[in-house]
Amino acid sequence: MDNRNLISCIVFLGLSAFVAVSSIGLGIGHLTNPRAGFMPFWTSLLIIVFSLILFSQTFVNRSAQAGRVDIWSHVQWQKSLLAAAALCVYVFILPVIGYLPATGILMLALFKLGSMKILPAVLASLLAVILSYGLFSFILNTPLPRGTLWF
Amino acid sequence: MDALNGLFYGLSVAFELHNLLLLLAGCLLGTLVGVLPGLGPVGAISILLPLTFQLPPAGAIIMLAGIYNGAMYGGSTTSILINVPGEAASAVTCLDGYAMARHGQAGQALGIAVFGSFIAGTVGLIGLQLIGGPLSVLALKFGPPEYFAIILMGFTFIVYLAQGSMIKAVLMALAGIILSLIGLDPITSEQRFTFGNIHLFEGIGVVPLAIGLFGLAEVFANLEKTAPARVLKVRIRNMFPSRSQWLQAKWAIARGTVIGFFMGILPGGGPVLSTFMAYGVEKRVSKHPEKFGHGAIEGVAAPESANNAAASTSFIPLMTLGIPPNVVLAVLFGAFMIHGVTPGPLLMTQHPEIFWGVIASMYLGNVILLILNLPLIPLWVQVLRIPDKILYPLIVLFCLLGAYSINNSVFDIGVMILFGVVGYLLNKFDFEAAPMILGFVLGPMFEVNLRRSLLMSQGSFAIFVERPIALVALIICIILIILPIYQTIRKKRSYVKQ
Amino acid sequence: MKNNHWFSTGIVVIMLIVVSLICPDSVKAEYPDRSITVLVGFVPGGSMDLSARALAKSAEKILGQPVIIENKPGGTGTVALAALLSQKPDGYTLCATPSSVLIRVSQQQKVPFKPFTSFKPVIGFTEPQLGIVVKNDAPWKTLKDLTGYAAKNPGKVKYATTGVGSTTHAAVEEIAGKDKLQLIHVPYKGSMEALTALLGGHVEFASLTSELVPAVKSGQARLLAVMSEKRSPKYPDVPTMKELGYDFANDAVFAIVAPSDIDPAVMKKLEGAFTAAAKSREYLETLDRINMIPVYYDGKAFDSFLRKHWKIINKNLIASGAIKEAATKPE
Repeated sequence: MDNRNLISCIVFLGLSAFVAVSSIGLGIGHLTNPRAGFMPFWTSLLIIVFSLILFSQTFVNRSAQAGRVDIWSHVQWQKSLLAAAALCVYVFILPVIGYLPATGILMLALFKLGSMKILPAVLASLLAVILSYGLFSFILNTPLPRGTLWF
Repeated sequence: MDALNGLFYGLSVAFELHNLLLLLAGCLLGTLVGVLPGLGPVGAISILLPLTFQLPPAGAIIMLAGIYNGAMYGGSTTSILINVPGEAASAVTCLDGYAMARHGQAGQALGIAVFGSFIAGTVGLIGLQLIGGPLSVLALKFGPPEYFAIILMGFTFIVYLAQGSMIKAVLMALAGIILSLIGLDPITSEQRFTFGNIHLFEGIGVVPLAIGLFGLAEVFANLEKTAPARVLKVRIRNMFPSRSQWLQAKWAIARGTVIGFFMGILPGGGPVLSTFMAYGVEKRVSKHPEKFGHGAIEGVAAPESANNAAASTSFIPLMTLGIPPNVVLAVLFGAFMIHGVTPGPLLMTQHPEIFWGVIASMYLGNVILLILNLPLIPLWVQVLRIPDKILYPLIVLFCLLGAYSINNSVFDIGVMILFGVVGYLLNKFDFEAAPMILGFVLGPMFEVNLRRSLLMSQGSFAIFVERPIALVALIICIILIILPIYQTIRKKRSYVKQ
Repeated sequence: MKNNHWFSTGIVVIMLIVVSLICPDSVKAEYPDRSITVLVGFVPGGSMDLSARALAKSAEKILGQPVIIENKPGGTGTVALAALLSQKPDGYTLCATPSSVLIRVSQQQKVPFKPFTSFKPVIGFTEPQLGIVVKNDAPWKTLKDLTGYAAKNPGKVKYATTGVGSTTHAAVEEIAGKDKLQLIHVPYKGSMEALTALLGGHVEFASLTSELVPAVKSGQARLLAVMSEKRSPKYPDVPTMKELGYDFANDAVFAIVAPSDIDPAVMKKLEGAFTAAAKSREYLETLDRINMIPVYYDGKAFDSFLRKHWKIINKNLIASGAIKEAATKPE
């Protein structure tokens, strides 16, 4: 039995249950007068139906298919996690300190994650940040986020 | 003025030195912004709008149209090279374009995209010139019931987008619909799943979603590989499509062109839907559908031709009715107005120099873009030679800038990152992102046209079968659903007999 | 040696950045000493965007500094206003917004600002050409013809607007309420979509904004009534809704607003500059080409405009059942 399908079924069921309940709150209406909750309600019901089909399929095929699949082995998932974490921090500090410093720090972190040496990493981040800033601000005339702290 | 004389007159306008220079500048700039994900032609045209105030109207509009066409050519570049779709219309190109790049065929993929764009763009222009008027009348016949039927047809193409499990593809499309419903209800303005956040009032954007699901997710997947990813570094053999690849792609280009041609005229999501349809049709008629998603050249040629044909024909409603069918042409519409020219049925008689000048310059622009883009291909392919540790952070930067520059919104960056993580998990759990994009694009159109139809008919479903275009589309729809089911049953039967 | 060279380059670049970061704050010159950004809550190319660009272009000649338009679409126009509040109230960031976002949207949705007190209006500078149109081959020559037909055919006449709860919708509600008509409302997203539906014959009439002008000019559509206070100079023969006996006038005036705690001296300078810009020939010519009507409200007049129309809209929205009470408190 493919454990990944089981987990996805549970996630889908949970999400669609939430959507279905909120849709009832919005008001479903009926076929001749659909209201705001109509579309999300029926879509989430369909999700429940198809998740159950997926679930039963997985259950029936449990001998035929390879069993447990460990998605976290043979990979350095810590690296992806770190990159994702760095990006999340970035979104929160970007509006505060502005594009140049925030993106500079992010790029430095990402280059270091790719095990670059510190000096080339610093230079590469500076170059990337300044070039992109220049391109957007002066050639394309689209201002990148300014921080509330600096300018 | 008949079409041929008009064209000659238009060429005489387009070949005036200052117009030629403006066209060249437009094409160059369009290519630049097309390559940058996100920003795209809307941003570029609105930025240049004030600069064109001093220009004569014909020159200004020629330049802005050049930007639009240039951006359409450049749109597929990042999809193919780094799996980052610059706009919703090139999301499908990621599937086979990026797969081709991983097999060392980035040059061929880019090449077929450029040639397909050129052919489709030119055919679209011929259509605009010859049958623009009648076609626009046909387009107006599309009311809510007709749209509903066409969109329903669009949903059946999920079947052809799925590479693995069909059930999972359907689940993804449904999830896409749910995501697309976030925001204010299109009929009653009630808030749905917005959690009171004003950034969610207008829903989440398709470009941040697509960039996250495709581009950023791919970066995450590559970061965690223990063995250094050498797949991309397969020797890049030929820069241009070979003879056999041409033969494979020629009908894909033709079919993509026809689909894009008609879908482009429809106001609304025509071009995006046309790319999904073109891809689905190719996979349906192909003798080797299993190759799709693993670098089938038809999977690049068809959608790229479709979106360029659609880009050309989307000028039809603008020039003949004064109705811009998409956001880019709405900006262009603004440009017409600011220069004191009203696009519409009177354009051809009141401002022939603009009507024919713009059409002629678009023919010319297609040639310029072909000449401009071909030498760029070897240059783009060099991008893949950049070492991973430098390339991946730069792709991330690209994704960030792309997501930000659509609406100048940091919130969109957050959305992009969130869906980068979601896309990464989806890969892990063996789900595909493409059907989700399809559901996301079609969901709101489906709902609003269904509800508008029912409002118009006061709740009667007869409206869908009383109107001929809607009825035909619904019948095609039913055939499209039943045919694959029938075929699988027959296959199973013959299997059992054996 | 090579490494050293890289290192010194790096130091120089870092110093340049530091200097550029510190400079703008350390120099105190007379306002304005750098470019001014005007946020626009809608996509480029629309009437809000184009008219703001036209005004900005004239204003920058008077202010002597570039005035840059930055589009921040989202939240039906509220994202840009919220973004304005997160910026320093130094007069270098302003927002161009339709009054409808302040007094109509904020009654329907809870928004993170107070429509009357969070902002100081600088100027109300233009309004769109709102009107009721039918297709050119329609049998109705006047609004009276149309309402007469609708009265005889209850539940048969369909109309398109730019969206539920929009000014264009409110206008038709007023007509339907007064003449006791049973109409079918088909809401669209924006004027263009609604116009397309009208030209395709999918609805009998449409209530539209400025996008109606090109269609009327080219003879595809016929204008039956306008919603401005006075007749439009472009259509001197078309009556206003007030003349026809409906108590309705356009409540969507486009304005420039600043954060409320802006320095009064800066505010004075801005008011002067934008007033002069709004009266410049160049601006008025552009406005005419993009089919907008020039109006002028100074800060105070615009403030009382907002307060007056808040009450009217509130009454209408509650009467039509769209809301029970205003979602946002005005002050």
